[in-house]
Amino acid sequence: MILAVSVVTDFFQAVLQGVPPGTVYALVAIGFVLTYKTSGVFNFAFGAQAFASMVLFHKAADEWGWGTVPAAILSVLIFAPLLGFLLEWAVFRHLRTAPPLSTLVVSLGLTVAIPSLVTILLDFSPKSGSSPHGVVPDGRTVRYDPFGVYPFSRDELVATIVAIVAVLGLAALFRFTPVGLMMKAVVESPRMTELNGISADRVSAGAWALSSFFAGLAGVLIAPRFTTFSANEYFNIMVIAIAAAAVGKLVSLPWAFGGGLGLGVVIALVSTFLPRWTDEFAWLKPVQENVLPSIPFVVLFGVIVFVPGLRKAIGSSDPLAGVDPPRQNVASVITSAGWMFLALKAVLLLGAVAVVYTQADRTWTLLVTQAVAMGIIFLSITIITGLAGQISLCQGAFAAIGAFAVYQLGEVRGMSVLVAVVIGGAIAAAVAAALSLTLRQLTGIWVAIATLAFAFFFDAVLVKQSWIGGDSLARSRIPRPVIGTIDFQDDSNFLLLAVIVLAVCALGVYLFSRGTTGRKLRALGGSEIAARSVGISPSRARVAAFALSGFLAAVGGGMLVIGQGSVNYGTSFVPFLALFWLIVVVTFGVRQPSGAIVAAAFFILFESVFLKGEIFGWILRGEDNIPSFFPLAPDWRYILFGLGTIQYARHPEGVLAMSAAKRRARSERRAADKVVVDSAAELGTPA
Amino acid sequence: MPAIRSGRSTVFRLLALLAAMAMLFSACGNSDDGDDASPTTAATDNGDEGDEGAAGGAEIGSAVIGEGPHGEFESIEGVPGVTDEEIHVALLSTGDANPIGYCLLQCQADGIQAYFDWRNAQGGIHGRQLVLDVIDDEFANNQLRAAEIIDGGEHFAVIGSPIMGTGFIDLTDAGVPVFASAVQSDMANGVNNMYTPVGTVCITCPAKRNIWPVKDSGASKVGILGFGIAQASKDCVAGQKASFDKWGGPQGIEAVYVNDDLPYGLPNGVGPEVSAMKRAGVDFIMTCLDQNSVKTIEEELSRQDMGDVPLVLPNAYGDEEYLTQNAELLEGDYIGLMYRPLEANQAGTDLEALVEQMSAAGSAINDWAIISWINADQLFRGLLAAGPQFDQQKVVDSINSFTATTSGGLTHAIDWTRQHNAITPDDLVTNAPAQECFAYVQVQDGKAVLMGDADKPHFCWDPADEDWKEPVPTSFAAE
Amino acid sequence: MSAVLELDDVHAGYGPFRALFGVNLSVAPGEAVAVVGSNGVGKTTLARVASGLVRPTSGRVVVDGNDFTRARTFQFARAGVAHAPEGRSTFASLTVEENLELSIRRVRGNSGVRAGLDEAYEMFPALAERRQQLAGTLSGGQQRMLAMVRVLVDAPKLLVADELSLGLAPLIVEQVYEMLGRVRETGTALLVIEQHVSHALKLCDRVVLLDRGSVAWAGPASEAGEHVQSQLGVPAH
Repeated sequence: MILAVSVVTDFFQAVLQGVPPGTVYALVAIGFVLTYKTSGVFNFAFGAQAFASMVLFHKAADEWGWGTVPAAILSVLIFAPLLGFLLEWAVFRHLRTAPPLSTLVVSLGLTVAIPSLVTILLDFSPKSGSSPHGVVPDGRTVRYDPFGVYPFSRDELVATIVAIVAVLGLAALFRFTPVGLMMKAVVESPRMTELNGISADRVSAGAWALSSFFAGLAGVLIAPRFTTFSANEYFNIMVIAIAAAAVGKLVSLPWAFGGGLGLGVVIALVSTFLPRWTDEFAWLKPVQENVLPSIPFVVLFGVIVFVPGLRKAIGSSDPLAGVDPPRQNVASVITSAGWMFLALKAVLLLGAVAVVYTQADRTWTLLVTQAVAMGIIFLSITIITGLAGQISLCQGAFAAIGAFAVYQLGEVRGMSVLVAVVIGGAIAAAVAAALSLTLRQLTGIWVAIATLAFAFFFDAVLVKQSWIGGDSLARSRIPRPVIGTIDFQDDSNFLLLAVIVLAVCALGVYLFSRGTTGRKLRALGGSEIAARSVGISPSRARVAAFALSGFLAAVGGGMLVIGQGSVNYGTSFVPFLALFWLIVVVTFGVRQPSGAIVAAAFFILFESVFLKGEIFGWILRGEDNIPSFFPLAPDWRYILFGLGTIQYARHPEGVLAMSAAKRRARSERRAADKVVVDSAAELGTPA
Repeated sequence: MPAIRSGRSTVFRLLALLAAMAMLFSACGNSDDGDDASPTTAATDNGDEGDEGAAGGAEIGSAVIGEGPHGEFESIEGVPGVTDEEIHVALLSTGDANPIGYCLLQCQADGIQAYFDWRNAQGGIHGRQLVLDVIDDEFANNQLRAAEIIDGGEHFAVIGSPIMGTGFIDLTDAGVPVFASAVQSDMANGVNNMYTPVGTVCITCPAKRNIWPVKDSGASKVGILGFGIAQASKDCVAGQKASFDKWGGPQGIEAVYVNDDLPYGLPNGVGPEVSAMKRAGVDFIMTCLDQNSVKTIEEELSRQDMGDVPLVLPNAYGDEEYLTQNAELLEGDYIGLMYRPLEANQAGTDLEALVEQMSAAGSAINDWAIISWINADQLFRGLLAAGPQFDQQKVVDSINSFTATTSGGLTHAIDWTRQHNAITPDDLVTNAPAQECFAYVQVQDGKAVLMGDADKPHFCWDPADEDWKEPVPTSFAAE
Repeated sequence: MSAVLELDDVHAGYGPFRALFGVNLSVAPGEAVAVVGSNGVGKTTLARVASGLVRPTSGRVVVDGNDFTRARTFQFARAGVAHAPEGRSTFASLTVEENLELSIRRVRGNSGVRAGLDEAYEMFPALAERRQQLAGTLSGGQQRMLAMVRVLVDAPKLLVADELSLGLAPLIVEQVYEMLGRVRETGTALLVIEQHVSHALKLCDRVVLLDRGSVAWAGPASEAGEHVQSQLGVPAH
């Protein structure tokens, strides 16, 4: 009897313990759903917007000496909606007719750029050891215990109450006012809404202001739960929030709220009871160790794969989409690179490599080797995103698989590291193929989200397994390969080897894209229905593309860690970085291999060459001549590339091909103008 | 500044380790009674020492080095970082890119600079001034900066403890002496030109010092907490548990709750975990976490009426703001130190000079600064012992001949002839210092209060002893 | 009285693709004008210019005597130009009632919504039955009806009807044109774009024949027969 009662009390207590973290998830999930419902945009950057308001709040409250309430008003009621207006006006208004994947990439870019921008503009550097606080005085220390089982702090109570009020208020807004109706209409077809006399721009701006206000509110309310001022935490939360939002098929606010709370409660329950069961059943120990951190991602994955109505939730098409000029015909750009052009690029590349091989010191050799390895990784993005048109956010996990394979097989077991690289590639290919098979029914955005869930799952659960990441962080000392008499301990020799591997991979990508599967993928990209009608199976082609992409990423990851001599998962392969890779590659051109290679060069060398101002040193002949505002903070890398995604959305072919496309457009226009003149002459004056 | 950069996740774990590591000392080296500051030819260091080579050098490790001048000037060619006027030393650590906001780069720089200023005012070493170049690895570029240092040939040695020391192995391979901290113990194991303040540490080994604070507080049921995602944190937990498994029984102490699986950042709070500890009757908590996470745990403890349960804090020694702002939460908690606490009697040790120099420079005297001072001192002694025709190898050989160095009474005696290798769980003796020592302070009213004797503040144990006994209060100050 | 709509030497297109070259057109108040021509001559583009969806690259668009060349689409709508677009013309993700509400509220204000809805349901009981149904699930004819109802409640000055009969059964087409007739009786001018020439000619006063983006012929409907026949190869009746 006593036992039963105690279990019930414990259960109740665990439920209550899950409410504060659950509220956090609920708040972000609500905000996410709100943005999606009112703007049609899958806004990954919601967390970044929340972060921005949080930063401003703390800056005002802690450094400028404003009171908590004025600081809250500034950051939530003034700054947050303004940011929303800015985003709508500058970015999302122009993307209304862009394909959803483009908008997704842009929101990823903003996710990366906004925190850096805010940090630099506000000159935010939190004091050592200080942690975020909430909006109410004594938020952490004053507690209330309504049930006599578990007390809540003031911060937590406020957050929960706000979440409840928000859900009810927003639901009422959508049901009882025209506002919600207008927003939904604009999401479906801005032009048709305009035909009804409603200014779509104004509605859209209002929608962004509303959802951004909520982002600011959430940002400030959830801050006390974090121990640090870290934009990364806000991003990680996004992933969990998407899981909660997915429970409501992305459009239901109450379900998002319930999903968030539910997640928090479930995690608390599992944390409470699973260890007890493990005490009794020791075989549960590995389950316990791995289940807890994986819950949100497993939920997300499960919802995406198993909930049937989900895929349709992503908007009906706009019947008036044809009003906008058709996008540049990108497919033609790929084939325009003739043999001579390719040969020229190859010669340039070899020339650069020769220079580095003979002239460079250790530092530059190291850098260039890293750039080469990243190039191989980026080629995987060319395949999966450029060719197959899927956004995969787990390339970092695949690269890490390659890296860990080299560590486990090459260092721990003493296998030849090059063989280990290949094996790592095979493992990653298998994992990627399996992933792709699971996701074969899903459309673009859901593939992106599912891969993100996998990346986080890998990060939270798999990396720490002793047979995967294990001890590699502290101790790894990965040997260089030896082929015959050539010892690649010499950095320059290894650089050459890496370049050869890169060339082989690039050739492979080129052949693949020209081969049957490549052409099938291009057909699918043009029109999936048409492709299916001629018997092309999309899932088979995509699985092949995923597998190749996994292989390439792993090979790149393996080469990277051999070059560096150790595995540094934390600085090389974490999910956030993989996001950034995608952004850099699409900026330079995701559809051709040269785009990936140039992107890798920029990615690695950007800091040394540009941010440190060394390029000015070269130009102005002398280190002393570098202007004094260098070195720029590394944050600028994120800002520039993040904002570069906006350019991508308008020109999905990327920077490199853009100029070619512009020239083509200009000549076409000239040709069209000629036609005008001719036909007018033909018809005589119009009647 | 909050960096959006990569895996805070994994890196933070390392950070957690960072702090926890600061406490972990199994190495301590010396002969019998630890009071070994028998001044040899201490006060006036001149070329004689250098001429004697290693034999005379060994003495310098433990000598009380006086006012100077130190060493003798002779012209040297081709030694990286050495000119006729200066010896350049690099600090390679992580600055603002450290998202937790912990002071690493600045605090380490402060400690080294204070030491250099002190010695430079005494005439420098071998007629040259010591110059510190501060290099920020911006968290992700450690290997790159290390490569630049090697290529540049403008630095004689590297001191520093960054978040990810990926380039340190490259540095040691290239012959550059590196002075890191306990965080880099794994890397330093067996590497004879990489030094840590008290010898290479074994994280997973049981350590007698872990028993002391539990006994002091009269507790008997210990909870141990660590992050699941960082191997270092898990190793720390394993070492703690091993300590209680091995020595707890006879003292009536048991580890009743061991959780090395907390998610980094504690996103779901620690409610259930603290409830579980409460149910298990935990009355003392050891942590392998970072400072901020400990704060979260303290708050949850206070929420569930366990606010009186003492913790061993990850090192916040000298972080006045942290201690005063959280005074209530931290009341009664312990902080373990590998060096002589400032609250002890400073006479006869270099602590006086340390405090004077750092106060004059307006620097915060905290854990990182003190550790860095110790590192600088080891380098200095190596230079001195190597003689006027010194180079990197000679300095390394010299330090490696020290059998009982205490960095001017700041630490227990370290034996570098044995302690590049860490002890192992199976062999706690061979590579152990003669005495394994530790000091404790307790947080009372937001301030650190010395535990133990102000004149003999080190608690010392004999590594060869199979059982746990009360530690011997010891001092390594000069007589 | 000034024309309800006037297009003055309008050139228009989509990016590099040009569609209209120097089109002149005017619609007097209460007048019904038919725009006919074969596929791809620019009829829909003309409709879009008329309602402000597409901005001309050169030339002028005048609504009720005011220059609307640079005006936004919603301004056209507020000025009384209604457009029933080609293809789907309702919001598929909104219910029938929500579709109606969207238009009615703007014209009659919050208080007039209920009355407007009642009016609409009276006119078309079929819609009343389906008021909570998603508009996307209605049949083609029902959707067209819904689109027309919105317009009727609106009482616009000009209705631009783009390919209303497209994809509809002949019986439904009859009904639709009957409704257009009613619309016209209320004083609304019509600009009817059609491929099904016969219905348009019956309803409208004037005919404009478009060919490759320019006006090939314009004149009264009575005279249209032979021109239309020779251009399109279709009998006018």
